[in-house]
Amino acid sequence: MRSALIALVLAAATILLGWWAVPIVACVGGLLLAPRKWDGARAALAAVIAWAAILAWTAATSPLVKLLHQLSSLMHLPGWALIAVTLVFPMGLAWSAWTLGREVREIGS
Amino acid sequence: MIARLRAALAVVILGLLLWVGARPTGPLPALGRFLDPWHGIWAVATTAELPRSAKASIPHLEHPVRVIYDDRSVPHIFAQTETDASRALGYVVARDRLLQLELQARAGAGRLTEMVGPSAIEADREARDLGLPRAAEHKWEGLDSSSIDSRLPRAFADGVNAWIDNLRSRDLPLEYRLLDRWPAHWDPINSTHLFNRMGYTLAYSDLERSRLAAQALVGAEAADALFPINSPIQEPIQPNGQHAPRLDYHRVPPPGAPDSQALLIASTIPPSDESDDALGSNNWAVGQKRSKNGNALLAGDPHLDLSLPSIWYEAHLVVPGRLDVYGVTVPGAPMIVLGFNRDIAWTFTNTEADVLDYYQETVDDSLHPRRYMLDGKWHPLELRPEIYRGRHGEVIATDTTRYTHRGPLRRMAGHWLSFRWTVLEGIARSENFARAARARSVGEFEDAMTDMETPAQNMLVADRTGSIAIRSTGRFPIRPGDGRGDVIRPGTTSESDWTGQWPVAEYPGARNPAQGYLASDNQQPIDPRVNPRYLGADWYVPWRALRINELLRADSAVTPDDMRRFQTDPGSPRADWMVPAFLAAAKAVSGDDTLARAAALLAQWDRRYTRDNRRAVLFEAAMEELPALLWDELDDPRVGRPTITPSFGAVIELLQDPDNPWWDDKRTPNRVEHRDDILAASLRAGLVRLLHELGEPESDAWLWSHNRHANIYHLLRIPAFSALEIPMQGGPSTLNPSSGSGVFGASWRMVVEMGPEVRAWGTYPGGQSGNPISRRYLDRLPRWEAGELDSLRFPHTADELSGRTTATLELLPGSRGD
Repeated sequence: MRSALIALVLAAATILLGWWAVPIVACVGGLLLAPRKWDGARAALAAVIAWAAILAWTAATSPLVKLLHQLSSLMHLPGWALIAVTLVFPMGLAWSAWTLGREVREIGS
Repeated sequence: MIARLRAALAVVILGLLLWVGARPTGPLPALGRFLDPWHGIWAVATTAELPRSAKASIPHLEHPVRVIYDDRSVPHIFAQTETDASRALGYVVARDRLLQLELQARAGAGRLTEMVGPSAIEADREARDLGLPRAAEHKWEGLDSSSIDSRLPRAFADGVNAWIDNLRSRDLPLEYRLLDRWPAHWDPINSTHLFNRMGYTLAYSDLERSRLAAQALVGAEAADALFPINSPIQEPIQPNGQHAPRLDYHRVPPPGAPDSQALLIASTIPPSDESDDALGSNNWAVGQKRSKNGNALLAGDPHLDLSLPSIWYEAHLVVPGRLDVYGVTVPGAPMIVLGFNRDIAWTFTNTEADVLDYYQETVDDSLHPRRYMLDGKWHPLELRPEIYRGRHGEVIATDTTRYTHRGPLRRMAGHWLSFRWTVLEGIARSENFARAARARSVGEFEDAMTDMETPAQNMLVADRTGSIAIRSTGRFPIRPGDGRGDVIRPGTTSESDWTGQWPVAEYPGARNPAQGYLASDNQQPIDPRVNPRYLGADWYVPWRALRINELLRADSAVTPDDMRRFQTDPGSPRADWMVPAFLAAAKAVSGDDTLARAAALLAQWDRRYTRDNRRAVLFEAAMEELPALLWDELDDPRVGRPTITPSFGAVIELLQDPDNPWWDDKRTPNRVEHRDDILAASLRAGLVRLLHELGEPESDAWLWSHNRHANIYHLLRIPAFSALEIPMQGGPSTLNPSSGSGVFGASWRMVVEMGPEVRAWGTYPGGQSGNPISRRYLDRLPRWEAGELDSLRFPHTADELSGRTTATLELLPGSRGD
C-alpha cells in the first residue's frame, strides 16, 4: 500500500514539477518515513511504476508507439531499450535518493 | 560497514544521475529533461495532432480572429484587418513549423552555429561573405515603420512570438529536444533574412566562373560559344509569333589557346550549389478560348529543394470586404506568395536572369586591405566584424567582411573580387504580395508586382474575365559597353558600373496572346531578335517549354484535369532530339555487336520516363557518358576528366556540325573522331556500364523506378524523419523533372479554374505539420507521388466548412490562453 502511494506521489510530482521531483520525493521519503526492509528497492519500483503509468497513459491517448519507432530508428536502438532507459533512470534516482535519505535519518537518530 | 558502502554507492549513483540528468553529455541532451515521461521527448506524442479546439492571445491583436482547420489541415483565418491576418498567420505557422521558421531565418542571417553548433560554420560564413545579413539590416532600416512593408512582418512576428511565449515544455518540437534548445524569439527582420535566402537560392549564379574556367583551357572565343548568351533553340516565354521552336545555329569555333590568367580568376569565384533543371519550375495558363469550360486555367509548379517539412505552408486569409486569398506561403513570409483569390490566380517561375556581376579590384594591402582603387583614387572599404557564436553563446570564430560601393569583396587565390548583386539591394518588400492578394484583374496584379525587385520571377496570372498574362518581373541591370554580364569587369574604374535598369515596358511579357496560352519553364524569356539586350546567358535548353507548348498547341479544349496530367507528363523533347542522333550514329558505325545491341535496345524505348520503363535508363547512361568523351579538351589535368560542363546548347549546335574539331578525341592521337563516332561510343559505353551494374536488360534492375528517385530529406537531414527513394514518373528535363540526387522537384502543384466560382486543386510533398510523428507530416506524399491533386477548400464563410472542420483556434487580444 505504501509503495502504491509513493508511486502515486512520484507520478503526480513528475507531472507537476518534472523529473527532478523524483530524487526529491524519494529523499524526503527516506528521511521521514519509518525504515522497512527493502524500502530503497520499493521506492525504485514505485518510480518505475509511476513513469510507466505516465507512458502507458500517453500511449493510450497519442501515437507514442509511432514516436518510439521513429526514435528507435533515429538512435539506432531497439524500442525496448529506449523504454528501458526511460524507466531505469527514475529507478536509479529513487533508489539512491531514498537510500541517502534513510542513511541521513539513521545518522541523525 | 555494508550500510556505509550502500550509502556511498547511493551518493555516487545519485550524483551521476543528477549530472547526466541536468547537463548535456557529449552528443546526448540532458537526460532528465529528455526522458521525463510528461515533459520530455515522450510528450511529443501528445502534441502530434492539433487539439480539437484551442484559445490563445496575441499581443497587439486588434480584434478576435477565428481560425478553422479543414480536413486537409489548412488553416482558414477569418480576421478583421490585414495585420491581424498576418498575426494569426504567424501564430499558426509557428504552431506547425517552428523549427523550420528558425532554421530558415538563421540560414539567411548566417547564425546557424548558434543553433546547431560549429558544424554549420561554413554555411554561416557563406551567408555572411555573400553579404546577406548586412543586406537584410540595410533593407529593414530603409523601411518606413508605418508602411505595410514594415507592419506586416512586425504583425507576423507578434503571432510567432505569441506561440513561443506561451509554449509549454510539452509543446516543444521534437528536434528542439534533440538539440537541447528552446526556440529563439522571432525578430521581424527574419522575414527579410528569409527572402534574402530565397534570393540566394534563385538568383545566385556562377556564370562568370564556368565561362572563365573554359576560357582558361580553350580561349575566349570558344568559351563564348560553349556558354552562349542566347539559347540555340528559341522557344521564348514572350510569344514571338512563330508558333514553333526555332533553331538558331552558330558554328562552335575550335578550341583556342589556353588563358592561364582566366583560370586564376575563375578559381576565386565560389561555385553555386548543385543546379540542374530539376531546380527550375513550370507554369502555364490557358485563355478562355482554349479551355473546355470557357474559363481561364492556370497551373503552377515551382521546382525547389524538396524538404520535410515542405518549403510551403498552405493557408486561407479572409478579411471581409478587403482580402480573401488562398495559397501557399514560405514559413516566415507574412503573406501568401503563390495562390488565388476570387478574381485572379497567380504563380511564378524563376527568370534565371543574370543579376550578379564581378569586378576585379585593386586594394592597398593584399592580405588585410582597408582601401580600394577607383578612378585613380583610394577609397575606404567598409569593414564589418563578423563574430560566430556557438550553442551557448561562446565565440567560435571571428572574421571581417569587406565592402566596396558595389558590394562584398572576397579574396581567393591572391585576387580580390567584389560583386554587385540585386539581391543585396533595395528594401524589404511585403506590399507587393499584399496588393497582389487583393488584385481583381491581371492588370491590377501586374501593377501590384511592378516594383518587386528580387528574385526576378516570371509572373503568370489569370483572371475571372478569361484574361491571362505573364511578365518577367525583377530588377534587371544594364551594363556599360557591350552590356554583357557574364564577364568580369575591371573594378578600378566606375565606368564598369551598372548604368541603369531595364524599364518595365521592356520586361519580357505578354497579355492574351493570339495563341491563347502562355507558358514559362525558366527558358530565355524573350527572343533576342525581338529584344537583343543582355538579360542572362547559358539558359536552360527549353526542353520543358517545348513539351508543354507541344501539349497546349495540340489541345484546344483544355480541362483542369488536363492541366494536372500535364504536370507529370513523362514525354521528353530531349529524348526526341537525342535518341535519333544516337541511333543514326550507331547505324553509321558497323561491325560492333555491343553497339548494335545498344542501338536495338534504345530503339525499343517509347521516349517516356514512366516508372515501369526499362529503356530510359540506357538513354540516360549514354547521355552521362557523352560529356567525358566530347569535352576532352576541357579535361582538368588534376582529375583526368572535364570539371566544367558547357551548356547543352553547345551540344545542340555541335550536332549540326559532324566534322567540328570538338568531336575529335585528343586522347586518341592516331585517329580523328567525328560526331557519330562519339555518339556511338557514348551509347556503347552506356550499355557496357549498365550490363555490369544492373545485369541483363529485361531484369527489374533496369526499371526506371529502380533507378531514379525523389529524396525528401528532413531539414536536419535525419534519415528517420525523411522520405527517401520515392520512385518517380519523369526524368531529366521532363515537366516533372527527376534528376541528379533527387533532392529537387515539384514543391507545390496547383491548378486553378477561374470560373464564376473559383475551383482549385493542389498538393505538395509532405504535410502541414512539422512534427515527424503527426499524421499530417507526410499525408500528402502518396497523392503527390501519383501526380494527383487535392481539391482545395475555398469557403466564403466559416460556416461553409462545417462537416469538414478538424480543429478550431480562437485568437484573442489580451490575456494568455491556449
